[in-house]
Amino acid sequence: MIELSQDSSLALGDVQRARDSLPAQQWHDAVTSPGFRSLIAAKRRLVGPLLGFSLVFILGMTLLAGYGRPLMAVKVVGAFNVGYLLILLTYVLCWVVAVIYVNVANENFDRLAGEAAAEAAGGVRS
Amino acid sequence: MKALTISIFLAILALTLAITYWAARKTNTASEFYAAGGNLTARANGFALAGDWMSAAAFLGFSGLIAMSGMDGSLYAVAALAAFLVVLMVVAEPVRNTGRFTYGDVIAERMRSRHARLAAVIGTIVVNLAYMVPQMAGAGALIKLMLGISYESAVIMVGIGMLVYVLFGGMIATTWVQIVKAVLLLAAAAVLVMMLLAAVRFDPLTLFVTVEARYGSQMLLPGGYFKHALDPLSLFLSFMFGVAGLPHIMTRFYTVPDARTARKSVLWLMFLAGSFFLVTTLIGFASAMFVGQDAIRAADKGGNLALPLLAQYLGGGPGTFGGQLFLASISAVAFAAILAVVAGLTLASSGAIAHDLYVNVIRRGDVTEAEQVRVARLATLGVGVLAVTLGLLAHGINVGVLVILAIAIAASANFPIILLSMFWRRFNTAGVIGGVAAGLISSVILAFLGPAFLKSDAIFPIVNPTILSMPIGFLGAWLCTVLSRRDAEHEARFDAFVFRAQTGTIVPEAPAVATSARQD
Repeated sequence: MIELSQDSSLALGDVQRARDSLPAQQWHDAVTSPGFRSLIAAKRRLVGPLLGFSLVFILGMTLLAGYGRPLMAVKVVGAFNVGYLLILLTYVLCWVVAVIYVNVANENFDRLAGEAAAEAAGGVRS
Repeated sequence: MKALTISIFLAILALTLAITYWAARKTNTASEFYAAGGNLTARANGFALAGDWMSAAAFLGFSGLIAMSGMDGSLYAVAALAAFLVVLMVVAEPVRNTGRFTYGDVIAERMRSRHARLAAVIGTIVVNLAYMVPQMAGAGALIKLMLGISYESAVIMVGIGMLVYVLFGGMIATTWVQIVKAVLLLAAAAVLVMMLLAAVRFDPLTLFVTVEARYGSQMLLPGGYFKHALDPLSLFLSFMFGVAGLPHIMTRFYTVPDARTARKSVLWLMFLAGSFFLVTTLIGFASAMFVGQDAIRAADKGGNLALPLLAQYLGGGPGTFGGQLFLASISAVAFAAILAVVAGLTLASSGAIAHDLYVNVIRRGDVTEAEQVRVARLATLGVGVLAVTLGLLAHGINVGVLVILAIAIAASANFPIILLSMFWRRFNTAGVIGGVAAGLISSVILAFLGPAFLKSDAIFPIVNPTILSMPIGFLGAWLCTVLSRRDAEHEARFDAFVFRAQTGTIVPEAPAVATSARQD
């Protein structure tokens, strides 16, 4: 454990020097490469709708809490009302969104990131 | 009866000290001190994150607020879970990919400027102290109540505990203290919920019906605690964007080897802490039903003892062995909760002082490994003494405004600069300084002009300043950036930063291999 972490911290210093010596053009090529672009596109496709929907739902609920008390008071089952239903749905929403994100990200992002890195490394060698 | 409480307290202290002894022998390098060697699994980091996030304020505060004010407390609790959506999807991975030990690392990596790092240090220290002082004050009040010792000795006891963990065991000890605390807290909550459900014949709706019948329909509606219609929105903005700007939460992502593990650890946290936040509504309502609001208020004006009193009731009531055992166990868990949280905060603050300020700003990185660890320990000592002093000074002062401030400053000063650093090519050092200054100053002024400090004479009507101070923070960052001279070289360097932030790959020559090798 100790050796590993020392290795990685040493490597980091070397790597920083190596990176700083790389011309800006090569980094420009790396971020405009098809591999990197498809990684960013995949992230946008996933995070955009997930985060957008969550923010609209959750912040919408807070506005209802402030301005829509009569609606929050409508009973659903017994004493349980729309307000508490929305709170319960927020828990479900957070968990579902997190599970979807982590599964898709673990499935795709790391693979795409690896491909982008390989592509960039190819660019450096050539 | 006191003997029982004290022996459970001592048992937990002994366990955490044993962990520290074990961890101290594994803490030799700066990476081990600040980041536990970067080798934690997703589950370990997830439990530690949960231990960091389920503070005494969450454990006692949420259930108390629900018992006394109803739905507003439940809204507070769900905000604490929703807070991690932005962390998970936007902040955790890039922060992990571009920093080493601190949030200042990320800003410095992007800006290549000591001034920008200094701004991040100020953001870190102010947020952490504002977070830590109410924890210390809460610990003092709580332990005084449970053990019968004075406020001052209680604060000093917590101070010594956290100092021992962090000084000797660094991040490894802090992590395992947080894991133990999370397990204890969740186990206590699980037992409590099973017993309270049994008491209502496994029909949680009974709780809603009883609370409504006894305390009025107001309990099941917003407005019991929040006075302004925009209060809930401002609170949620504060949590959802502020947690992404809390340095002691970001620091936890440096303890894992890669982005995949960082993601999975947030998922662990969201299920562990989220389940707890969910059941605080049941716990709060059960306290209101079985213990009663009058009895809760009599024990503590703020309602913070609703959960311990419910535990006492479910264990058999005051005076019985079961009741006393339950009360003592819950008190000890609350004590462990405070210790784990302040340890994490102390470590993150000492990172900002030793690693950011001393090693990188003053000495420009020219410091040996052994000296880095030595300086880190010195800084820890300084932070600990400062926290204890402030905790002692806070005695009798209403520190409620600080709780609001910590998260509001994180959302208004830290979050804008971390977000703009990652996504805006032109964003520069002037923007970092402008953003931190604008967010920090506006949230402090608005919080002190608000109801938390001025009560009914409030000039700014909303308790949580974030709804206004976060836009001001972004505005400051944007304005200072566009008013300063453009730097083509700085903007060109954004490519390298963005590549590293998004892929986790440090250099093109060593793709993927570098990250996968570190997993072993």
